[in-house]
Amino acid sequence: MSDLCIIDYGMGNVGSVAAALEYLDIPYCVSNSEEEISKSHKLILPGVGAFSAAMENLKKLNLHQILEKEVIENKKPILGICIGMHVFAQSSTEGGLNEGLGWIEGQVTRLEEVDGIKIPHVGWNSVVAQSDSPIFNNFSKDSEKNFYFDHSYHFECDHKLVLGKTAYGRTITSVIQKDNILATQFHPEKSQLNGLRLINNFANYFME
Amino acid sequence: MLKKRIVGTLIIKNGIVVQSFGFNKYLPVGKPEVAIEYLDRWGIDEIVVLDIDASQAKTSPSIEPLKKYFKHCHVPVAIGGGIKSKEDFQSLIRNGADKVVVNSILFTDPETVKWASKTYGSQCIVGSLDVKMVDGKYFVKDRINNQLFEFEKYIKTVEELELGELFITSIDKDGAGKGFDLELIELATKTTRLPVIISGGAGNPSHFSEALQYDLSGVAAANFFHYFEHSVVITKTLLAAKKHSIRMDLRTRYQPEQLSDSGRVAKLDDAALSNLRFVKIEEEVI
Repeated sequence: MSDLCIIDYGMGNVGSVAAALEYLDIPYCVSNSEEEISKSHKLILPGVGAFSAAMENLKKLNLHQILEKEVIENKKPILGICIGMHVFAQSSTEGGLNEGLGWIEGQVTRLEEVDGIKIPHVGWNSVVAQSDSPIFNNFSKDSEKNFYFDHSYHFECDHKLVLGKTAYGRTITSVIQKDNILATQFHPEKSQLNGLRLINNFANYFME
Repeated sequence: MLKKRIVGTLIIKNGIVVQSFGFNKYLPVGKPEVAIEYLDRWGIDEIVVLDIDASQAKTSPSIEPLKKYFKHCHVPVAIGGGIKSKEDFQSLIRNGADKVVVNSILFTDPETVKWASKTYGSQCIVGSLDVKMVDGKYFVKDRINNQLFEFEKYIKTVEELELGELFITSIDKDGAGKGFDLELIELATKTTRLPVIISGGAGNPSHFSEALQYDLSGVAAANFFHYFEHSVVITKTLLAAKKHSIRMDLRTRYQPEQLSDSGRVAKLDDAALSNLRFVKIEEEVI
């Protein structure tokens, strides 16, 4: 039995998430089968690409129902990354209006071009923690928490759910938590030490 | 605040990393996976791997070594060299490339580039332009057909392909270690609205600092990072000391006063050496 299951739905970089878990010595599996997913303690939904393609792939593999059962009914902790975060929303305007899984009340909309910022938002930017969540364990309090971002759309939701914020033009939501659901706009699997810390915190401290 | 990226470029020839001098002379360095692991541990912000055999020999990019590349790497990696078809984009991205760097295909098959940026998102496609000065004017060079295109006009053409960023290399400065082409940086950042990464000419950390006076998204170097231990950490420390916006949460730290401007650890005087005490710092286990 694996501690962690990386959901393989044909979107993005499963290999990088796996490399991070290997570095951290956390047992994991990569799968899209109901059996493997239901046996794992925690889930990671990675993602690079477009919203509509991500939703389509989830439905094609019947993952929207399998995950709904595990995450909403059984309250299994899940970490959504980038597009994996966006699909938790009710809807997204990327490539026309598309419906999401609707687990978190909120919409995904295009970044606003204010103050001469460039879109996509690519590169390392700092996250300001909004609470003492165990997700930020082992981060030094006085140095910046930089993570790697690469996106043109962002998640708008109730500020009570926001665990981390990032300044880029307007302030964007970089970390969300709703009960057992955790989501990051940045790519922890590509964010070196800080990313490894965050993934480790998710695996060992989140909801434990 | 968004940080300026310090990018490490690895030029691959015959499966090994080489140093390149003016695109025509090469010196061997070592295995790509080892170079990637070092750059990652030294705090690089992004890695660009360019296979120059694939671009010259008209073969497709080799997929097999990619697994080894990503095993010990926790920063984004862009892969380039020899991309010719939709299948090449597909296989690189499926096998872990965070971004694909395109050069010759911009001239030969722009429609496929457009398809790729629609399919995988523009953030995934990096346009690489090799730029040369001829009679006081800048031109983009198409190496395959040995043609030159006027720089500003050409930028407008590639902008229509919905690329995520531009990786601009100065052919004249490449491998010389005498500094980046500042005139080219100024022209490029004024001409395009796309994020620009400049490459070609890094010889010491102050060259990075000069380049970052302009509105660049990142500065890349290849040969320079191979020359000495902790080259990335030392460069970043000196840049941060000059108030550039640089990511500094790294494994290793130096104090700026320990370093000389040329990017080496400064020589201490004898009195300081005799008073030196080593302190053991435990490595952080995550």
